[in-house]
Amino acid sequence: MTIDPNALLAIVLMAVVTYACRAGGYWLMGRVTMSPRVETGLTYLPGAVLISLVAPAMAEEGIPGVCAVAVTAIAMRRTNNLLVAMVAGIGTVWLVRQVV
Amino acid sequence: MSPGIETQSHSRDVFTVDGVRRGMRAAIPMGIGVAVYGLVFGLLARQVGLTFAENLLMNVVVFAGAAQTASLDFWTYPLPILSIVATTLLINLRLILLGAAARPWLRALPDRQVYPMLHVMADEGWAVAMNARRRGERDIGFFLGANLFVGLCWLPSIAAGHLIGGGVGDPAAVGLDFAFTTIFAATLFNGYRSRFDLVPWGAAGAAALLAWQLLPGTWYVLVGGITGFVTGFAFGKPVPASEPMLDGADGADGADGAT
Repeated sequence: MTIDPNALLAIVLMAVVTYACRAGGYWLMGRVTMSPRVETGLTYLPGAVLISLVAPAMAEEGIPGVCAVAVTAIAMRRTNNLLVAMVAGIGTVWLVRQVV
Repeated sequence: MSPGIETQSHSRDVFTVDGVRRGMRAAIPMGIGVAVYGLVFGLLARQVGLTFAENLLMNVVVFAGAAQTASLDFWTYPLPILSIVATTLLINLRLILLGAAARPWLRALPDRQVYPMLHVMADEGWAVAMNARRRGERDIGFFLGANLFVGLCWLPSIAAGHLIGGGVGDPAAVGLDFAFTTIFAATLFNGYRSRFDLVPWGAAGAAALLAWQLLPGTWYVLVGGITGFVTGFAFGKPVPASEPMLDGADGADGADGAT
């Protein structure tokens, strides 16, 4: 159970900048008066962040990725169950990778 | 750990223990994905030379899987601390967006409760919670519960990965490396509310793809997120605070909503 002083320093600084980001956005939005338009824009942020995580990963994976995301969408729409959709997507990427 | 269990009534957003429970339950699928990823991280961290104590400490105080994984690339002794911290900052800039988006919900609680809570906010729990809010969830406890549950899945799996230290097969061999993409995609589709959603989402996706091609690192998340926000800001129909955000809570037929 040893901690190297330099590793400790790195970890602490990582923690500081990370918490600053976590708290910073919340703090910042408190400094401005939020108009209904801004709030509307913010409601689209979660989806925008999610699609920004998904689209490049899908593109990088190529055909198996596109198939997996499509199957995930269908499974989600049919079952409304996150776990089922996830398993279906993972299964698809595995399966299509064998073929492509 | 929980920032007080009191109900605020000056807004329709409340904080209840029941909400925490519901948030935890809703985060179970995400938690499973996180645990798998945590196992891999624990293993990788050990391989680059982190001690068990360092590994656990990092995951408690930093608690940002993507940035930590990137930092492991630099983890050679003597440690290039500046590169490690700069990379962490760049990858975590997107957390600014997460906190900003959460403000309209969390602000019903006093700062002294919100700021500690923000430490456990990570993409996965946040996505589960914000998605529930799109479907009408008002309980801030749900936000805490979902994020806390993800953290509770993350830590033991880190420890397990470190202790196993090998013998775990290649996650890519069974498609597990794609787990996060599918679960993020499922969460995205789950939050689908009306045809108009496709406008900011489409803009965000296109911008993210472009940025992914042109920019180094993970700037694409920030570029896509901001593009989606700006598009929603410019073209979205403001939802009056007094109205529920959703017609039909199940969302199965959400397509005929606000279009």
